[in-house]
Amino acid sequence: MPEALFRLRPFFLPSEQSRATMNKFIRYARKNHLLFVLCTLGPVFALFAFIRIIPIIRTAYYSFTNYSLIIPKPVFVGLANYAKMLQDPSFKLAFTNTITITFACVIITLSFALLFAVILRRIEHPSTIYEMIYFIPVVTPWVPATVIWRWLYDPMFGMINQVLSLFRLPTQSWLQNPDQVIYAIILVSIWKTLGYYMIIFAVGLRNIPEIYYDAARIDGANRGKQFRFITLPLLKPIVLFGVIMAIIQFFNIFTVSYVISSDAQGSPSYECKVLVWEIYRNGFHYYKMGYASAEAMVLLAFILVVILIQFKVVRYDIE
Amino acid sequence: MISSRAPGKPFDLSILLIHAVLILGSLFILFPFLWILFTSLKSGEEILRLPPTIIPENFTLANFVAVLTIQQFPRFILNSFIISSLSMLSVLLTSVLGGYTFAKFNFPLKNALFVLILATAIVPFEVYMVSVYLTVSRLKLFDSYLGIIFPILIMSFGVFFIRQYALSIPNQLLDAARIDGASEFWILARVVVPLCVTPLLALGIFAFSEAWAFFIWPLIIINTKSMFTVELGLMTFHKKFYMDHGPIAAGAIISILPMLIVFLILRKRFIQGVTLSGMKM
Repeated sequence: MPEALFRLRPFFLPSEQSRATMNKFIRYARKNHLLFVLCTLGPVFALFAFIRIIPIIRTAYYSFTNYSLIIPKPVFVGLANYAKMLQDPSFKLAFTNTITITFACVIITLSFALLFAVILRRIEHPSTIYEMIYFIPVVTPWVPATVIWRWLYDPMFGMINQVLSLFRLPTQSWLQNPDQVIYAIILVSIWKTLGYYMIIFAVGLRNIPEIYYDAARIDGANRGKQFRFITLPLLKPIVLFGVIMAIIQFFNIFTVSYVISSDAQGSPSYECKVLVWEIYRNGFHYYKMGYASAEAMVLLAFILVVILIQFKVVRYDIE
Repeated sequence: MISSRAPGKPFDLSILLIHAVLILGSLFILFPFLWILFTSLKSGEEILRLPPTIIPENFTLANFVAVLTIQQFPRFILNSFIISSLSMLSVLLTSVLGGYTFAKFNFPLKNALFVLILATAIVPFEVYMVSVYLTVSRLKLFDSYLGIIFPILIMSFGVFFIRQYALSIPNQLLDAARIDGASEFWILARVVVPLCVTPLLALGIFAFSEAWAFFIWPLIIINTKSMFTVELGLMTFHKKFYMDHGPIAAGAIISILPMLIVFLILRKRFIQGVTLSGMKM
């Protein structure tokens, strides 16, 4: 009987077996510096969870609720927000505008970026000066960039109309014409981002070994053929990457549109609705958090589709 | 005949053409800057003169004086500097801690955690800002520096970027330090960080400039004028006094200047940082 009593151990004392597992774990932890890992990665991952991961998941959840700052208790409404979006003219307009801006900016910016990158490679030494100049708008934040351009677009004092009238071309009302605001935004965006994609392509071009071109020259290939059969195929991955980056960047466009169409004294201008602006307006003006979240999910879905297509294309390429 | 031409010589004309195209492009890029610079140096009367003058007749700094004294611009600049520096420091710290640990240690769920952090990089901030706003409002961080830098305390790309560099640090070096009795934190501070100065500098510049240009979040979360960033101040000023263009031009120049100076001094690092961020996805 006493023996049996001895065998009963208090619940807080580990058994022989579990003590062995614990020792094993401690040895494993010591060997792999798990305490250090916990101290360094713990806070970092906690921040990522708190600032990125949880908010993303929560936004997805909110998109199925009617959450607003006015209704304190969010109620699950299923796909109602998404259905409402299909009926919402201002969302539809914002979506079309965003697609138009993205399409125009991606094509024009990337074509010019590629052109400039290719001809930059031809000149050796002074190319750094050009790279520097073209990069200045990239380091200029969107707000001052838009403020600068807004004054250039001014129908009376703006330089663009002055130049147009110098060449006896009809002057335009630009920002005061609801149809032209979008062109104004596209032009500013091209100006702002051209240098970035030019540098990306220039780096890609620099990584193509000169020896390919030497070989092509020996075989008698001219410039056009060299571009067609060496530069383009070898640059294709980075061009594709640039296209994806640009689509995502322009699809998120907000600041230009917001600043360029801001209502101002003495200068009525029409706003060009874009997707992020709709999220901002619904979320922070009308406090319709649920609806804004649903719009945000559309933005995310679009980006995920683009990235998926990229993966598909890349895989197809490898095969 | 063609083969007898010296290498490098035969394309003189096309080189000239290339320069012409590039200079034309440069004009397109630079003209708005020159225009705003000249506008900021003109008097109010000259700005509204028709036809407009390009180079000011009388150079005046009145617009800069106006924007720095009448408006609270110095305060906005200070705010922007504080916000950008805090964000930069936080990004550097978290990126080194995360990046080094991911590169050199083995622990359970390592790959899953890393993929999770990387995956957040493809989600733009605009997607989840509503949710972050609710968090910040629950923490009562409106109109505070912490509230403004809250979403930019970390950068997924930073963790990834430093990890790539840390992978190239030889393990023997770390083991040698361990045999000498160095603690893990000492190794991190004295061995790893000095070896990562180059990527840290590029990342720091990138984080600072991203924070400086951050617009939509301050727009949402700041209501008190004394907490405005330069971007926000410029936007409000521009909205309210559109016709008062001299001071607005001066304000725009002031808001560009810090970035431009850093860029011109550290051009290589800057371009490296920004283009490498292309790997953000």
